[in-house]
Amino acid sequence: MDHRNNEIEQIARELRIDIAKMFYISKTGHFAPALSCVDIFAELYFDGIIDYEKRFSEDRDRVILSKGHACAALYAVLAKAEYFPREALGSFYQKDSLLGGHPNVALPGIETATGALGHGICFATGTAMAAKLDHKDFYTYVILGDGESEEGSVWEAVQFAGKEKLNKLIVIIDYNKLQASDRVEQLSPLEPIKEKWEAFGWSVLSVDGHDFGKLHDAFLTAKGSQSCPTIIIAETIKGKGLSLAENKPEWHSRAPRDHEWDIVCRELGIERAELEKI
Amino acid sequence: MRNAATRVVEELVQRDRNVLAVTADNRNEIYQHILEHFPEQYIEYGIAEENMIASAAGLASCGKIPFLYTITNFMSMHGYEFLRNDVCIPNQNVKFLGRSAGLVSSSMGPTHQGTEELGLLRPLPNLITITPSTPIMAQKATEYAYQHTGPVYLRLEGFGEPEYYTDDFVFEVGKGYVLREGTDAAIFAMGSVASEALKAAEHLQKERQLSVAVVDMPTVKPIDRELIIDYGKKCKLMVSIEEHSIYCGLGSAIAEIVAEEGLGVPLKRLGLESCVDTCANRKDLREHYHLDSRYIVEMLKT
Repeated sequence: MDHRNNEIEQIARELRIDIAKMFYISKTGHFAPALSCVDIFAELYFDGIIDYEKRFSEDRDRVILSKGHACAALYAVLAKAEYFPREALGSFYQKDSLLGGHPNVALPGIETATGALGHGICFATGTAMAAKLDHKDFYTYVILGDGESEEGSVWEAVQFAGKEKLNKLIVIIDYNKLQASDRVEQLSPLEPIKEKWEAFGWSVLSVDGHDFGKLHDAFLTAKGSQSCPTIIIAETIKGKGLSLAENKPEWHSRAPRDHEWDIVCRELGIERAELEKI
Repeated sequence: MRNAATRVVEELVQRDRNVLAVTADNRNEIYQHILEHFPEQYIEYGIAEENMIASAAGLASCGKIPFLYTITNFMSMHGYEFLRNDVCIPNQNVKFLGRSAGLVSSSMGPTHQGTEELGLLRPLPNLITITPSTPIMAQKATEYAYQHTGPVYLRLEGFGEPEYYTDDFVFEVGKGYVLREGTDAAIFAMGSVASEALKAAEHLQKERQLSVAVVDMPTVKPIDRELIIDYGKKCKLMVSIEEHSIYCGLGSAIAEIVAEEGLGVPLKRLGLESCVDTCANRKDLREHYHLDSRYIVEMLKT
């Protein structure tokens, strides 16, 4: 287990370097939100949670980034998992790129175009429902924002999935406690999250969203659910891994600038010149 | 025409296991029948249009063909961003049966009167919006919706609309149907209010020897441009009539073509200038908003 953890930690470190390189090119975008959920993606794609062999088939597991603004993390993971050539990362935010500021369905690995919040989880109830109707085995994974959960449509989806007992629907809430302008608890408190989702008929698990072993166990438990959908409350740190962006609301939608890149490179253990090499 | 459309869904459910009858607490007797006899092809979302629409996009992405039936305002207005982002932009194969389009809801008030949604739907990519005028057209348009891959939105009125078509009618998107020929004036109508135009045209022929054409226009995107140009050139006056806002419906679409083609023909648009602002039955509402045959006769006889 430890050995495996080390391997995934190394992958997550490389993904953070890729994300930094993308923002070095774009000079804009949602930097801290991507760093918050990149470990969750690393665990999903590189630790046997999704069925990698079936990734381009009709019966593939669906992964839906409902908080679409964190797309840099998903792009980095999809490139590493060879959904598309990694050179594409160099086009992040550039003219005619499929890697814009929010996911585009034309990019391999993207199921639906998210960006407006409270949509992805609704779309996901449809793919999970289709699996149920056709007795298929694929899972639908949704990465949901904590601030995003303020949208009413999220609760329409939660209610429907509970009613239909969509046991192959697994939501991971990226619970970093910050949203665009301030702390979630200042804007619109979410607690008690566990009790709310349980009341809608969901199974609720709570884990450290940066601990690969714990995430792994939670995913296995969720996949074993026979009677209801599961939400994994992943306790995360927005901007995780780069001290200047960690837990700071102002980093919601900005990229590092000027001398800040020196700090980023130091913490990632790379030379500044490497930022230009995708 | 609601039943004519949903009856097609019931037939399709039996022919194609991927067809789904879907609603948000708005089943009619035919959807009730589907629920009872084919429960595995029926999904009830409860009063939650946003989730219903995005979820339908998810279903369609897995090969399902969901037919969503509910009140047109709730579907198109409450669910607009979901219709736009989740269905239309990615071109998902979702079918919308929006009921109570136009002034069908009589005394129910503006919340239920579907009189602006064409303005919302027309700019959306990939979406074909159809306003059938009769039950047979509603049936044929629903069959078309199934054949077509991509989103289709039917604006359905209610029950007992006058019928001008026969069972061999062939529905074609983007085509206007000439119900009556004429050379003095041409009335372009959307929905069952075409019957008021027909009545007026018959009266004007008999009493005033005026030759008035009536054209049924179920789609405004694509629109039958050639037909509009043809009548714009041969008639002295064009009229549009719709149980819809004049600012974003059939009349405004015709005005675009009259201007773009430099036809120079006067165009009188009959329709609503605001949301429904009074309580009355449909007949009285038509009178109130100048959508009745008597008003058309008064307007054209001079």
